[in-house]
Amino acid sequence: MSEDIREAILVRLLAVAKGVAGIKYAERNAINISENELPAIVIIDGEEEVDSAALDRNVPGKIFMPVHMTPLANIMIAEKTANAGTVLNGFRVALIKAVLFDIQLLSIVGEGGGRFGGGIRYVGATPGLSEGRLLQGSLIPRFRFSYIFDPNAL
Amino acid sequence: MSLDWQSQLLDPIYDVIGVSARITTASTVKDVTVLDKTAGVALAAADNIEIQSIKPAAIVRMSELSANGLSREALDGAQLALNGSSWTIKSTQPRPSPDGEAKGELYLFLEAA
Repeated sequence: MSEDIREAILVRLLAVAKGVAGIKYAERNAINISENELPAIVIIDGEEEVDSAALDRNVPGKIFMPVHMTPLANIMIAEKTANAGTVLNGFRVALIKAVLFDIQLLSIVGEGGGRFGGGIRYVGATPGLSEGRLLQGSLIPRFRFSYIFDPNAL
Repeated sequence: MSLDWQSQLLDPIYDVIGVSARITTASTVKDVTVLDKTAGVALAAADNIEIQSIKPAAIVRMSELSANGLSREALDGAQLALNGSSWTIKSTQPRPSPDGEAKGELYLFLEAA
């Protein structure tokens, strides 16, 4: 049976984002959002890289190897200026907690589950502000999903 | 020949396309005429994401503010009722005429109240 762990992670990550309390809209790779859909979380599929140590060892191309995937979860809000930071940080906490402790995501990457070698890590966040009807604030928590990529399972 | 920018340029514009607005500061309420410069805008977020919104703004003549006893400083944080919407004035920017700042206009940058 073929499997695509990358796609499975992104599908589940979107479901987790949709489940964050107070989020009105969540979608993958949506690049146009109406202000009335805020607060929203947009998942950008993001990059992935084979673990550099595996590449350095020049392992054969058809064996399994660790991959680090870094999707972006854009939290976007429209708030009064005085409240924007607090609201953004509230969603940040909720999303990070939901992702790091989601049993399905942990199972997909193999952290403590049936697979091995995987893990989910929070690696930082990037803020942004722009003016609109209300202050448009964004915060992009970055997660690193490490999983074992097996070309033979595709 | 000298040109009176206030009476010959600004006033006719405000007479035609100006709209009534009410400014409420911490100490007073004044009715003024403003130009509604609210415009639709796509705000760039991260990773090519754009949020469709508006950038609310209005312009008022400095002479009318002075006539109403309103200073630029008094407008910071004041409320503006305009075309059925309520706004908070977040910042202002002078737009002087050739006759100077006092005979020019003032941009009001707004946020939904």
